[in-house]
Amino acid sequence: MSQKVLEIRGLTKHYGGVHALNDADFDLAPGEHVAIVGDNGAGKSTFVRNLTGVEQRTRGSIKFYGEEVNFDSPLEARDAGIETVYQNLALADELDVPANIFLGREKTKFNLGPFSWMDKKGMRQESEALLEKTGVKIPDLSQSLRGMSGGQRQCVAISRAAGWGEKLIIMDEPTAALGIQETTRVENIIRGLKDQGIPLILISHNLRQVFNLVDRIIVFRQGRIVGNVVAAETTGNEIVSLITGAADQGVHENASYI
Amino acid sequence: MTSKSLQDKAIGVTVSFFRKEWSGALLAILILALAIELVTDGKPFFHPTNLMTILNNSAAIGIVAGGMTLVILAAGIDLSVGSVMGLIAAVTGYIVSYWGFPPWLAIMSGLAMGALVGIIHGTLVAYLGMPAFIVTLAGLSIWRGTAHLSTDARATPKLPETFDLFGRYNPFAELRADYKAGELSGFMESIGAFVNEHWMDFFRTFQMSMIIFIVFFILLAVVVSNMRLGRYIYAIGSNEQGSRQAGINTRLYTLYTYVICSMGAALGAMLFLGRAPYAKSDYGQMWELDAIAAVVIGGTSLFGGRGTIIGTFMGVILLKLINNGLTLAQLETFWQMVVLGLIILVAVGLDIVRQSKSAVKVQRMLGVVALVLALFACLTPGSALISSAISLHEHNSMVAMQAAGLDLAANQTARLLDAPAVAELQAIVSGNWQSFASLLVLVLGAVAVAVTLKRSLALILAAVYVAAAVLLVSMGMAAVAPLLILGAVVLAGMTTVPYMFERARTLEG
Repeated sequence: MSQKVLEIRGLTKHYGGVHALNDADFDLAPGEHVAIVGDNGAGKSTFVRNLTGVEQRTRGSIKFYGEEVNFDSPLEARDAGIETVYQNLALADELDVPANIFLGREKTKFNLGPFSWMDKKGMRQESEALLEKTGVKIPDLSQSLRGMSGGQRQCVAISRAAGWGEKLIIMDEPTAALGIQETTRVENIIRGLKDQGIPLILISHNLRQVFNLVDRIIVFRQGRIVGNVVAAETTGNEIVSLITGAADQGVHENASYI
Repeated sequence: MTSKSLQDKAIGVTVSFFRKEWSGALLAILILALAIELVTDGKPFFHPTNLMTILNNSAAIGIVAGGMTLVILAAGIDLSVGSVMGLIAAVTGYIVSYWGFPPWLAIMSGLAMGALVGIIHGTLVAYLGMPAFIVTLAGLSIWRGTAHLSTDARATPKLPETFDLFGRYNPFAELRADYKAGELSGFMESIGAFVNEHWMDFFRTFQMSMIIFIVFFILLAVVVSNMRLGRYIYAIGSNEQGSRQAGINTRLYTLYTYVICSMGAALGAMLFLGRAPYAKSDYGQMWELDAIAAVVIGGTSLFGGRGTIIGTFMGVILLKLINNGLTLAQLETFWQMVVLGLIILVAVGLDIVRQSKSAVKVQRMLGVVALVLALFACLTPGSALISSAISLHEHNSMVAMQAAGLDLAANQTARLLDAPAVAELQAIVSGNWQSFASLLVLVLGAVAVAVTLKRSLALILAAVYVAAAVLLVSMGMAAVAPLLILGAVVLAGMTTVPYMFERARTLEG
């Protein structure tokens, strides 16, 4: 069988006396799309932060493509091939699309530290190809992002992650701030990643979206993984029960789970 | 959309022009230049020697402003450039004059000192997280103090000629001298003849100041738009946290901006020494204000991320023109400082509004611009009126105190005026108050327009502005007229803003 993307065993994070994350075991198969759901404070973000090196774990081991990893910073995680789309998108609004896609990783014609000459034309061409591949349509690449809609900006951020991360992409609430049409567009990009076989971890509050998009759902509650279910074999009610810990009480069938 | 109408094309061009950060500065330069051309008789303004003189005189402050641009683009600020410039000018002159340093070694030491100051500022800001405003405000005081301390606040003797290479040295001067001495032959002789023939109308003012100024800005513009440094400066200025997440070493690049800015101040010091007779530690006072003003007027946003080097270049030129223009408008230096401050406020206001997509806000801003223009126009009769009125009032107060039998101190009796002076002041007051009051009416009208945004009111007021301008020219205050004409254009243009916005929106689809 092929190499697992992620093998996490006993991942634990304590902030002093607060046990934010306890003994999380997590596997990700190649090309698999997994959603992480859970209530606020359930440990989703802590899990991701410790995976990507934003914080240092208290205990546990992480294997990335079979290799034990210990990222000291998000940059190390990124260099190893884990691309994260942050909720704040990490875009420079005053720069144009190619500049943002290549931000921090500019193509250069010659290298002289700060005085390296950028290959603007090359970056533009690659950006065009990349946006086409991810199915993002932006009328004028040379416009700064400031004038663009939330959806377009999100698409740029996701395309950037997709362009650089062939190994693993993590998205934190990618559609939280978007309208219906823009959400659809982002979801289509995510389906495109699935077709290309790029593994994805999606943090989302929107269960309908989760069911639409991913293969497997991981549920966090009170710092523990309490559910690991195949999306096709479960129901919204079951997930909500896992999230709230109210399995025996049942949930009203019309409850809105967001 | 293949065949756009001429009008749509014009609107498209207009909109894209005003989207450029430097559009305001360029317009203001053209208008001011035209105004100065109109009101000065004799030597034309648009003459190569005059234009080059302006460049020569703007060179030192220009280079300081160029470095400042990078700091501001990265959402920082450097209030210390004036003091740093003073320190480096003073110390460089001092070690040449009293320590026996060869000029080039002193110049290199000065530039290195600039780099060191920048490293100190940059480290405190970027690595210790201290607010740039505070660090450089402290620097403003520390470096000025250091300059006075290290040179005893005394002027040096005349500096060696090497320093002229940064200032008044004219690369064609020797050629011309050789030609005149008849030492040239062949091809060089014909060049020499050409230079000699056009000496007075071109080559006379072709000096190193200007050349260094222009080359520096070209280099800076290339760095900013094509090199990694520039890209990261914009990125840090628009989203520092995001830039860090994207893998940029934001601290190091922030540090670079302060180093470049302080080295700009150091190079500015050399250019200043190149035109000054001696070095002294009080050079560069208030230059931080001029430099920041030039950057901001050139359309660079104080919030970072937005702006251009060419904009700063225009800002520097505009600043010099404003100084010239205000002098022509018979305003004292102190009033010029007031006006400069107002212009900075307007420039920052324009920057905020330029980002807005609301036609109403843009209209309101144009109303404020018309208001400020009328206010500036007020200053010419107003400054004379106010200072005369105050002098008269003080004279009357002193007379009243004497009449009450009080003993007056020496500086109080100095306020007493003799009869002819009183008469002269009274003449100034009576001669100016009508024009001042009527210009004040224009200001109030502009307030009304900015508040109501009524189309008809704006058009009527525009006509009144023009009438007032004509009246002022007939009263011998021609320098003020262009301000009012500009105000009229702004007011008339204001009425077209909603339509332009609508068309532009449909054009972009």
